[in-house]
Amino acid sequence: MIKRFELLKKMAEMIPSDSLVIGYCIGLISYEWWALTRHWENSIILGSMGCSTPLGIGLARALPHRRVIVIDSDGSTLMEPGVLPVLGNIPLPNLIVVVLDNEAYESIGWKANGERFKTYTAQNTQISEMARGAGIKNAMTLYTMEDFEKNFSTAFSKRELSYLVVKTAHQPCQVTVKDIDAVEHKYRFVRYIEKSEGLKIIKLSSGRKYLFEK
Amino acid sequence: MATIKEEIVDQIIQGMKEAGIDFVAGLPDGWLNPLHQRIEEDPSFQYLCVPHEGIGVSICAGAWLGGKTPMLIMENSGLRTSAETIARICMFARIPILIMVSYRGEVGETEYWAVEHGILTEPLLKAFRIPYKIIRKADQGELKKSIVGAIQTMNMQLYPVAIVIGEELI
Repeated sequence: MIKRFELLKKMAEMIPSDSLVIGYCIGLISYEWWALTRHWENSIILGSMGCSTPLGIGLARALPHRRVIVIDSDGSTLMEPGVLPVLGNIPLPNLIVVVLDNEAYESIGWKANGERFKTYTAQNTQISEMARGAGIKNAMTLYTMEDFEKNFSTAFSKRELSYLVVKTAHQPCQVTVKDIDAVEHKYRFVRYIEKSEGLKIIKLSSGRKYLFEK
Repeated sequence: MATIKEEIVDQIIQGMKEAGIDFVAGLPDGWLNPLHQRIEEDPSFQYLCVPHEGIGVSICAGAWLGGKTPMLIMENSGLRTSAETIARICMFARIPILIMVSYRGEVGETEYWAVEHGILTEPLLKAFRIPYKIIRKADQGELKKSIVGAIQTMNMQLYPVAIVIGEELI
């Protein structure tokens, strides 16, 4: 089975530098994604479980000419599955969603013997089937690195939403806890968007002159 | 069924345009449906119907990151369902969105299910320290001015601001 850190490394290698990335919000994936992309201005880690894919939808709709990649998880998708029918009905040709499915609450769900509480994807639930039922045509579950590489690479050449669920093995966190918070990440990311798109997003000043100046 | 008056909808739409709002996520509700419909039909706005208010908060936040001026429109019960997302995105990272809610459950409410909506609206907004304005009359362009003002405050504070549509406008 694919190891999580290897998959994230592969993604970091394959994502073009002008793409925009909503990195997974919290836990092991967020720490490892941050360690791999600390110099990337075009990636942001924000919110809590269930926020990543809808953040990507808003971003992709705001900037339809930019490629947007979302990293999400099985636990988050099961927490906010209402996002699937939005993906299945709204045109989002510039969006790629990659769901890391480890079939467990690996970051938070510890049992005394070191095992993790499982999510329902370990039993009868298939997220890619939920996605297809919600209207996402290009949804699939991938089990090997070779298949992931092939389909992730193809996704960039398509003008169609790609929804890739990737089964990953459990693995101890390969890095230390992340040393950036969402406030700093917001400024970094938004300043990058302002620069690369020629937009003014942070509008703290009304542009008026200082009150006492003549 | 009572809904928001047509002349009030006109004023809100004008205010939204003047304020530069160009992206709206919404979950329809009894009072505000005519407003949802006008927003959906108006090409000045990108309107996206969401199945859950928390998803609406995240989508609006993502749109703001991409340079849009977003508004989330919903029944006041949506403040409860979206509370976690407001806390973890808007409160923590100071990301601004305009939140417009109907004030169900106020004095005069006719529906039994709206009682908690009325009880919890202002305490929740206060708990989040979200600046809010309850609109009770719309004469002399007050409503339009309030929406423009709400966007100014939201941009200056980098924090959500709420407009609460009072029962008088229905």
